[in-house]
Formats: sequence, structure tokens, C-alpha cells
Amino acid sequence: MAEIIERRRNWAPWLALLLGAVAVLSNAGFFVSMPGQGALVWLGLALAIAALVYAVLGVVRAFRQPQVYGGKVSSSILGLVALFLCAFVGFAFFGARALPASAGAPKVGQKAPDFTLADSNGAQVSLEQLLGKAPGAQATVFTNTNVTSGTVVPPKAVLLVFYRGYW
Amino acid sequence: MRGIQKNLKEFEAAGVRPVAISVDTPEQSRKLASKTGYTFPMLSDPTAETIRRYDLLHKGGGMEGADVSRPAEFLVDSSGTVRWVNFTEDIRVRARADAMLAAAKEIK
Repeated sequence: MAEIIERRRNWAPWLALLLGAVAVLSNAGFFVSMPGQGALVWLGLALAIAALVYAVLGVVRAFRQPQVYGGKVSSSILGLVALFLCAFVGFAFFGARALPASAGAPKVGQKAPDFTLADSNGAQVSLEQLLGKAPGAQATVFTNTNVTSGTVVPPKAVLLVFYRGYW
Repeated sequence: MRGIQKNLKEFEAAGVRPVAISVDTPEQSRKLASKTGYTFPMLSDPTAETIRRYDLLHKGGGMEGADVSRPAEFLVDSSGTVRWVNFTEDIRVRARADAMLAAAKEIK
């Protein structure tokens, strides 16, 4: 009596491709101003790992149970594509997080090191001046002018924003 | 920094003056400011001396392997004391202006 083998669709490699593609595309979320970008980092990673799991599952099923699943070639190709997509996500993840430890940076309660740097017009500006403790640096945009008396009031605080630079 | 520009009035109302610092030259800062419309001061630290003093140097972290600053924000009060610090763990995640504003409002 002939054995009837139930054929099943090997959907795992396709799911792997989909998850991998979504993981890569999720990086677009970093280019818009949206909340929850911190969560997006881990979501992308989780999707990539899931993609890898399904890619392996698809290949294992195709090769271990060829009569049931079939698709040795297609699962291998899709698995490879999914692998590349995951590699992209992985590189982006580790690259974006490869940052120096900065253990020596001033901590809350410590004094901020003074500096004198050129502003975009080439004028020298010091931290003391920005804090209003030394004359000068009032002519930059953003002067705290007292509305009633019209006198310039020094700021309560300065927000130093260190950034990577123009790119 | 886009968030800071958008909320500049709020920062002003809280008595906080945002100042951006990077290795960019004044000319590069002017170009960036004209492209983005940033009006807060942008200071140049091309030798990264100040960046080093703040221990923020990211060697080879910039374009073509240039040494740049890692992103970080410090709220410094009028006595020169650091009151709030934020370090990014992931350069893709934008610093939120609302967190900076909340910290700014805490300073009396």
C-alpha cells in the first residue's frame, strides 16, 4: 500500500525574508523625529534574530524532510538573503553602539571644565561668558532680556550639546 | 538638535541657553546652521581639545575616520556645576529635547 505523504508548504524561509526585511527597514525610524527610538533598537535586533531562526528552520525542514517540505534550493537561497539582511542589522547595531566609555566625563555635582572656543562667526567664547560670569557672549541669539527692565539677565544654566559634526 | 531648535522658546523660558560643540570649523557650522535653521550658538573645537577634556573623544568615529565627539549633553548651572548629564548609547537614537527641558526646569 502506498504511503501518502502529506506535503506541507515550507513557509519558514519566506517568513525569515519578511522579518529580515522589516528589521532592515525599521532603521528608517531613526531618521524621523519619533518617540520610542530606544525600543526600536531592540525591536530591530529581535526581528533579525527571529529571521535567522526561521531561516535555519526552513533549511533544516527542506533537507531533513524533503518529501514533506521540499524546497532545498529555494530555502537555501532565501536563507542566504535573510542572513545578509540580518548581517546588515547586526553591523548597524554594533556600529552605532561602538562608543567610548567616557568614564572621565564630568559627573553631576562636578565642575564643568572651562573652555574658550570660536563661534560660527569666529569670535572667541568661553564657558564663563556663556554663563554670564564674564563680560561678552551676550550678543549671540538668545539673550535673556528682562521684559520689564530691559536688562540682560544671565541664564540659569547652559546646555552643552556635544555632537559628532556635519555629515 | 532639531528638537532643541523647535523648543528654543521653552528653553529660553526656563532660563537655559543651548550651546552646541563639535569638531566642525566655524565655516562648517555656518553651513549647517543655514541648512537647518539652527540659531543657537555652535562652537568649534577642531583640535578636539575641549572634547578630550570632557572625555568625549570618539577616535575614528567620524567620516573618513576623523576623530569626533561622541554625542552627549551637559546641563551646567550658573556656578559652573554639572546638574544633568545624558550620554547616548546608540548614535541612531536622537536625544529628546523634552528630557533636557524637564532637567532644565529642575534648576532653580
